Amino acid sequence: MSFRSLFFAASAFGLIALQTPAQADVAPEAMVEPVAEYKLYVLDNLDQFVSHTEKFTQAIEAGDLDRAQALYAPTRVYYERIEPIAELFADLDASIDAREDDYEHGVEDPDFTGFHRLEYGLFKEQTTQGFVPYAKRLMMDVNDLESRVQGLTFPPAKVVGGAAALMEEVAATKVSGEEDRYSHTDLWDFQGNVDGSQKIFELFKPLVAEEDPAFVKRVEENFAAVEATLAHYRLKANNPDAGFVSYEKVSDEDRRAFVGPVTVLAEDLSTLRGKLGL
Amino acid sequence: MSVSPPPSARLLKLGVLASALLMLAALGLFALSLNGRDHDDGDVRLVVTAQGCEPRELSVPAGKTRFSIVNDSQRAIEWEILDGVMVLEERENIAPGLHQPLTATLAAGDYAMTCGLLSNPHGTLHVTANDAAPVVALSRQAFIAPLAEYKVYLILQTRRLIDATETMHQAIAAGDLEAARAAYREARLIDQRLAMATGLYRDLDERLNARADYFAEREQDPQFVGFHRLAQGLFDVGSTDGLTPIAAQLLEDARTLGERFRHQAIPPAQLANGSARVLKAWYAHAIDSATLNAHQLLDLQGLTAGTEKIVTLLAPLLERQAPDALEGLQAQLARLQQDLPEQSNTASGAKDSSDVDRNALLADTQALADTLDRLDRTLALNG
Amino acid sequence: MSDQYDHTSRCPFTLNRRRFLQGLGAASAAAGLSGSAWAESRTDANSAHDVTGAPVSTTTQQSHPFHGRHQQGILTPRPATGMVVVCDVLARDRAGLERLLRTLTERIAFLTHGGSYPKRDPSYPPADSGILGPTIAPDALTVTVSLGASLFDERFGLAGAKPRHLQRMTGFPNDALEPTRCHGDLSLQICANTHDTTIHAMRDIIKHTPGLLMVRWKQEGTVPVVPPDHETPAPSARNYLGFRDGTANPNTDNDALMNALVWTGADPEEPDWAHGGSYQVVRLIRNFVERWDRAPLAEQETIFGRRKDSGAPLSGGSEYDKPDYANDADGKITPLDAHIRLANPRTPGFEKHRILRRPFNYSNGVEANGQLDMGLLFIVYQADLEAGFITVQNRLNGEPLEEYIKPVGGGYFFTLPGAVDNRDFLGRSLLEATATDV
Repeated sequence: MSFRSLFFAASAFGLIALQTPAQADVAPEAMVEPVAEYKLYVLDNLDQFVSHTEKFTQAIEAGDLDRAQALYAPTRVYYERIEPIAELFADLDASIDAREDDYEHGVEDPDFTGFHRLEYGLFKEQTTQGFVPYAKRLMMDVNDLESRVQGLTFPPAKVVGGAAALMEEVAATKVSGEEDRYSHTDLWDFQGNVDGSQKIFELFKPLVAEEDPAFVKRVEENFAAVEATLAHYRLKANNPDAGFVSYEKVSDEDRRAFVGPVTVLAEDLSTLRGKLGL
Repeated sequence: MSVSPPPSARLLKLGVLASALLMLAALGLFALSLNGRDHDDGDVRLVVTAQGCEPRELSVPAGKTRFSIVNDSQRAIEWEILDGVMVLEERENIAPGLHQPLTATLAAGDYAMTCGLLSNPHGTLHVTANDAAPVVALSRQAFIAPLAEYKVYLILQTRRLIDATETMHQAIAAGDLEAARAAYREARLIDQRLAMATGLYRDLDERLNARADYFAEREQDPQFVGFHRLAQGLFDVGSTDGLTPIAAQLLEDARTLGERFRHQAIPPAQLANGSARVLKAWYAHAIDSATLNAHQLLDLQGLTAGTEKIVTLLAPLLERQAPDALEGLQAQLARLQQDLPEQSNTASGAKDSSDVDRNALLADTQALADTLDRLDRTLALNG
Repeated sequence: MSDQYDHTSRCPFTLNRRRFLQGLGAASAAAGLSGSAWAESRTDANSAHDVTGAPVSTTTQQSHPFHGRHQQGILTPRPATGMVVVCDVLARDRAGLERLLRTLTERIAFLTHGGSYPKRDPSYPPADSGILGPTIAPDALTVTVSLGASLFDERFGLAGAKPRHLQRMTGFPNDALEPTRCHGDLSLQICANTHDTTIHAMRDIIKHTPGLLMVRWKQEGTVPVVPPDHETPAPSARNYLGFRDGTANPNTDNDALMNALVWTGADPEEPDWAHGGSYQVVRLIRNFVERWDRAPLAEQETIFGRRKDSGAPLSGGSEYDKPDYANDADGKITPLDAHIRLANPRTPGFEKHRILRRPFNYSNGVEANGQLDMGLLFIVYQADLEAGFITVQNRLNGEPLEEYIKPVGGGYFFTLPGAVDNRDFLGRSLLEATATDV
């Protein structure tokens, strides 16, 4: 952004010097571009999510168990990256990504739909039989999510808070391997959450770097620590997109190695809103 | 058959003198009307001639100023206040010999003003600091979300604009007139959706959307490029000849536009103000024609779609601060949308639509523009 | 030259220094002093006593009357600890059920009054667990007995007498109910000043009802205490989110209000036997405390609709001031989806949906992810289950607080009317209402 247009925008806002918020020296107008860039990132991921879900559900409808199993985890990654926005639509978040614990009758509950319902069928029951309706429902929900997000004006506090929210997700469900208890593909989801959190941090980092370089350094180091531990479990050492081994292979030592940096990231990123005056 | 005696030579001379005096008086009155002294006191007067602005430098205090722009040249002009390439205010299509008022609320600083032909040098407008100027107290945080959403809209629409322009470029290069026309309409519609934002960038707006009239040599002027040049070739002349470099230039400019949208800020005041500005610009040209041609209708469709997006973005802010204003705004927008014909993208080129109610469209557009113009005050006072 | 003489003091009395200090130590213990300066001069034999000596309380003799039209533990001021123990009834017939109810009545009457128990020959197992010593102090104990919908099945012929709204709890949208922590035939709410009194009562009741009762699940809880010189009215105790909980409870001193809101009886469609009873809702609500502790304070206060430190509503005043919604129709001061505003919007006619809350905070274990399992043992009483908890919870569905909480267990029960005197027993009116001539 040119200084000139920024200054101009700032003076159009009125009182650039007189209305500085108590906590942050970050001008609100400086947040327009990162928020916009984040929506573009989300739309891009949603686009991928829709096309991957098409292939995934088609495999189920065609009765191709192997292919459906192979596509399960890579499809979910796009959702896990953008979870803070998906969660704004609680009904869709539930029907796409809820786990059986959320339902009184567990797996057999008629309201239990989405990825984990299909996970149970594909990985526990090892079948696609009877799951076509669930596949169709998932496709419908994913398309619905895309159109709702397209029409959504993103709330800036939710965008910035999303970095912390994603790390809370990791701390609560990914570190213990309870997210994908049948397929054990938790590390894919873990990487997706971390990707999404890092993206938000990267977009807003320039606004806080000057004021608190120690904070930025600490966050970057902790992200690096988490990435390094995740990298141990890649199927192809140099290619994060090629996927991960089963969560069952994560050693206890590594599980503990995750908890520290993940918790510190959750703590640090929970201050991002405060630093930006949101 | 009686013959009246001829009036005396002296009377004749007196009569000639009297009528000459009357004529002079009339001319004098006419000249006075051009002077602008019969306008409201306090109007700042600026005359635009064929050579440029008179005076070349103006000075006004910060806050609200009412200008009176006098067109003392031979062709229609527009007048703009610029900050760098950013257009703050404009008045389009001031007919030769007439004057137009323009009210602007300006912060202290130095600005440029246009002076008729696009090739004329710009004048300078000094806006001096003024304690009595009202403080514009917009809620800064409340605008982050709508401005970010608008930016996303601009970027996504520009992607589509680039695609349509590419298609058009290829069709022109291949000599396919029908395909070129269809792609032109698609691209122009998108371009008009973006008109408010594009209009903030003088240089790009000139290359994309300037009319022939504003150039010294009109249609023959080498600086005359962009949509109007392409329309002239594709629809008036009916050929793709010579248009390939114009289309290539348009494509490049669309890409530049996308980059600007990505990285440059839109001042929040422009959301409403700018929308009013482009609607008024359309109105200023449309009022001159007896019927509305297909191009004008297409443009209005694009402008209306762009305005709809802005209204949607401003709605949450208005709902809290001025729900009545929002209701009125939405009603006016709905009326305009209703009176617009269905967009038709047939291959037959410029088509005069006789089933279109020209008066209704003009009235709707003016009403909507006026409401948008007042909106900033509403938001500023309460935000 | 004996060491027993203290030569230095020239004191005429010989005093064994060790015994002197022992006496002082005993005296100071008896006076209720702990950590006194004398402690530093005690010898090794006494310091063991110091570490494991029972902490002293001045309130063990507090006692709440058991007999009455209503059971205790509802309008009774809530003490520092409580638990809910939910059981399945193992009795096979009505005779067994009656025996169970009479036994419960006897035991509760005794425990809440306190006293000593018969000593048996040592070759027998002792009659009491003994954890409170040979004399049971009441310690403000209350035990409240309630029945679940499942008891009103075909086993005991109670189906025709089921209270109108009693039902098996169904999950709300944010629930993640664990079957092992839900529902049951009979609930016991056991509260006292100290935790061990409640444990003692629970063990006593289980000991006396073999073959009649089986524990299905339980949850213990506490609330933080305040010093005696607290502000008036007494501040509500805080929950594990750090907020005062129970501020807007209906006034328990107002009999007419309690008859309308808490005690079943006004509704003609409720069976007669149930008059003087109440609907009891138990909800185990996990709090994601680590995540909560990372939420900005402003967000926490906006979620609840109250200031955290003072408990005052966002519209101003102090904890017990009513929130002002009339001048805030758009929710600019107290958001429309703030917890307290959803739970009670204070619109005309909403008074009939007010509920009496009497919760505790629970802290269990640690999850596999290293995060703590703690939350709210939420207990609610109301005359009408539909108009009370169910209406209020439906209004709360989707509230912003749901990001930080997750209901994982609980159930709906009907609290029996009280036993009015020694000849009465809990549940007598229910058995009489369903008796058939045999």
